[in-house]
Amino acid sequence: MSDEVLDDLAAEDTERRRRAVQRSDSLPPERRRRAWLSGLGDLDWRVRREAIDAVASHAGGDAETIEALIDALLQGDNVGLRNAALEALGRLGRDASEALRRRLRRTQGGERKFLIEALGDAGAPEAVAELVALCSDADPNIAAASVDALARLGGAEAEQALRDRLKNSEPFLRMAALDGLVRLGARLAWSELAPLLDDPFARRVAVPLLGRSGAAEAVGPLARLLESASPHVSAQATRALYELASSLGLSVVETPLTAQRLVALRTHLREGDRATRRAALALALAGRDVEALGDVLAVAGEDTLPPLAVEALRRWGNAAIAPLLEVESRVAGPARALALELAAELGRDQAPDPTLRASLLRALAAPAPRVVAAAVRGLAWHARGEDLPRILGLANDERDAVRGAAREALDLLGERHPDALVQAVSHIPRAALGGVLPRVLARAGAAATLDELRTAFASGDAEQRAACLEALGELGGDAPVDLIALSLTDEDPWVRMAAATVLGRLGQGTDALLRALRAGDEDPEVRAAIVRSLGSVEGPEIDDALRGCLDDDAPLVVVSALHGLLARRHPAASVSLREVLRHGDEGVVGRTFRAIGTLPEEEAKAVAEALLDHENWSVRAHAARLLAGYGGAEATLVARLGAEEDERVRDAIRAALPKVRGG
Amino acid sequence: MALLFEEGPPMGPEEFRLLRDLVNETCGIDFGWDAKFVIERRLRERLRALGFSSWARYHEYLVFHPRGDAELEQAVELLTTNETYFFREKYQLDAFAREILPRLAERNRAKKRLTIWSAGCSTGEEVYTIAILIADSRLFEGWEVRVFGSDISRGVLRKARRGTYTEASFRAMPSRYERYFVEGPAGRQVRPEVRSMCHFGQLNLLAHERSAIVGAVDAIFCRNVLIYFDEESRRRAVRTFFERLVPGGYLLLGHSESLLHISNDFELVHLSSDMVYRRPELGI
Repeated sequence: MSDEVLDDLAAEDTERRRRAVQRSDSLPPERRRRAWLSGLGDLDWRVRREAIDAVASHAGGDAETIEALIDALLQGDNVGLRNAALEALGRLGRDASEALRRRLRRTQGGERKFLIEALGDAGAPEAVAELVALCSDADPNIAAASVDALARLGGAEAEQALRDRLKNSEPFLRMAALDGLVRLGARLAWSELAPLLDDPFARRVAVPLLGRSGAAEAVGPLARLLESASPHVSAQATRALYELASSLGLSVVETPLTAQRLVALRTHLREGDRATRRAALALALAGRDVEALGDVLAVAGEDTLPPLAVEALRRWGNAAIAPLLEVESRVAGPARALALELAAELGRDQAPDPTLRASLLRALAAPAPRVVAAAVRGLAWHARGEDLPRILGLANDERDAVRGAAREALDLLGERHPDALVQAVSHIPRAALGGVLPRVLARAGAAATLDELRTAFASGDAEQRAACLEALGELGGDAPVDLIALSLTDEDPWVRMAAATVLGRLGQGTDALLRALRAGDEDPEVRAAIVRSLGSVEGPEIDDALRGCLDDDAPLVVVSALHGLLARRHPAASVSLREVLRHGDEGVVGRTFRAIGTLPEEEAKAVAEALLDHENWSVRAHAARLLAGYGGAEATLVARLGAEEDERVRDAIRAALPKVRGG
Repeated sequence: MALLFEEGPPMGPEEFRLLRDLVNETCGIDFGWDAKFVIERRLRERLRALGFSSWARYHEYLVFHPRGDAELEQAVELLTTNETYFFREKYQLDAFAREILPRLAERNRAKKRLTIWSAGCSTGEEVYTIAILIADSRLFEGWEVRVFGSDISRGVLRKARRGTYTEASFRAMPSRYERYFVEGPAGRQVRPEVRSMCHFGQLNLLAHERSAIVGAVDAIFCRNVLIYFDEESRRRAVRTFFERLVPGGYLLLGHSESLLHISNDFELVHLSSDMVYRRPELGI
């Protein structure tokens, strides 16, 4: 077998050699090492890749192999072998670092560069002190390699060493240190950055650091760099300025955004990568660039609006409505939908705007469901009583988005214009209202008779049955609880959920809810609804039932039980909290955070801070949002912003910071 | 291969035993050895849909596959769906209308509430028949009346809720009840005022805890359902019925069914044209 492997390693056929490396772990140690080194030095990259994987998997703690790898790293002839050895040593991590450091101490000259590089790749923090010393080496290549390795290793000592190199007279080393600090996500004070800005090359490298500096003085240099002839530098400056505005507030960028700089932002809006487009979008809104609105809507229509952009729009206020509607009349699809939504939202607290209402009504005839849905949502705020029949007509629309928006709008309008809604309903045959009837009547506070609801309830349409249950719930003390409880056996989970929720709202039917819970509904959403409803009822039997739900297979049910137990301050709740957050489902995470929010402030804050380094980005973002509601979390959030790589979490932190600061 | 499926793979005795026991465990229905051909005929389409060439593979799928539970539900649905029609076993319904309903109207006149449970209601004809009889009696006008139909199969419940039936469902219905229906393109539909009395839910009669959600009822119809259950499952279902019935409440079984060897908890009541069971009054 072993001879066969060694023969195959010498075969002409690449695949045979690759497979031989794959089988090499069955060889005796000496032969296996030879096989690995042969694979690492192979002419074909596939064989080298196989060998790197084999070494990384099997050579940890094998001192002779590690020494052989270091020899391979330092040999001069075979570049492929050297690079493969470098990668293998890096993947061996701290298993290799002691041997690398020993060899570094024994080696002189330029060869040390490879050992330093390997130490950086291996992530060996114990090498930091030696690397710091080598930053001052007479050989600028060795010094620069050490700076680079320190940037990869990170940590306070490494970061300080890089900061110290910023004062170095050697421009090459200064640039390497700056680049390392950028990669480390370091935050430098303005006083450290200012002296570097005279050097045009250093200025370019320092752009991200200027963005992170939190210094108002950095706004000017960054705004000027928007006009840079280099699209790369201009794009970097856009992102950095956005970051700076996130921490300092939008007002600092409004004035420096001159006409010429707004032109540069428009280019980034059209041509930049996602992060740049989002930054440019927010800055263009901050600069109130009417000409950019079309591009802003096109970008935002396909993505989400960053929090800073929303803030910029709010600052723009109702003055943005007319330009938005002007753009709305020229665009289609998501951009038009967004224009309508934004205009409607900005005009929400203003005096009635006939132009806005006319645009929204006109859009009801648009072909795209998303546009119609946006118009309906807008009309929830801006409709007059006479518009209600049109919205009622859309409440049974076959397009899901339109139907859903119309029903939500009717909920709102039922509260604001109950009489108009009842009048509108009276002009439409009840049969034509279908599933929306009970909901509309209930929301409008209309006298939906029990007979009407009973008739509507005997429907094959589950949505209608669920709506009936809600309407029955609105009857309060007159609600037929036994009828609602019977619906806990409905074959449709949506109806069972509605039944459980309505019983919870009424504070009745506890026995039926407990039975349904004990019977174990197959649908976790229904179980969760039952648990939520039980959560608002007192009693030792309920405590036991909720505690039992902490072992449910569905995280949603556990979260709901947690919520109930937290409200009761039951000790079983905090134990299960972290466990639940391992779940990837956004709904589960969101609900869990709502549960955390019910804890006393200090406890909630401590939990949220600890969750800022959770493996799930969504948990980190939620933690930042939760912390926004509490004072004293600024330092934690700022530190996290420096280390955070996920743009979604960074957005959440940026949005949280002004609130934490009381802005 | 097509020919093989036309005929269907033969079901061996061991395969039959495995499938029969699985169905029995799930819903209590007990198929005797003579029912092998029923299982073969009703489940053959599932075998074809899933592309299995043997019943053993199908059983394996039901037990071990992640979608096995859903498939088992479908299989049970195919095996338990039984044909029914309006006014089936009319002599018993006459007794219900003439003798039981007046007694219940008298008993409940203070609370003005009447609840009837049709357990194993299939496509809903029995539920609507009961509701029609209640409406026709005119004894319960202005009352809270609920006729609750339950079945293990979601498919039949969907049909029951539609309340629309073709001619075959009306073969035993006296013509005087036609006024409770309206003609429609898909058949005759039960009138809204009757449908508004009727409610449906999915229940496995062996799921004791879930059945308790039904609450207290005045009478239970469970006709031609228990005949498919083994003795132990019958005992469990009847125990649930006992607990759900108010003292003095009635249990109506199919004409060939009795509680002999199943339960001593009920008393037998002789009506003019039938015998029914009743939960004894408290203290009796």
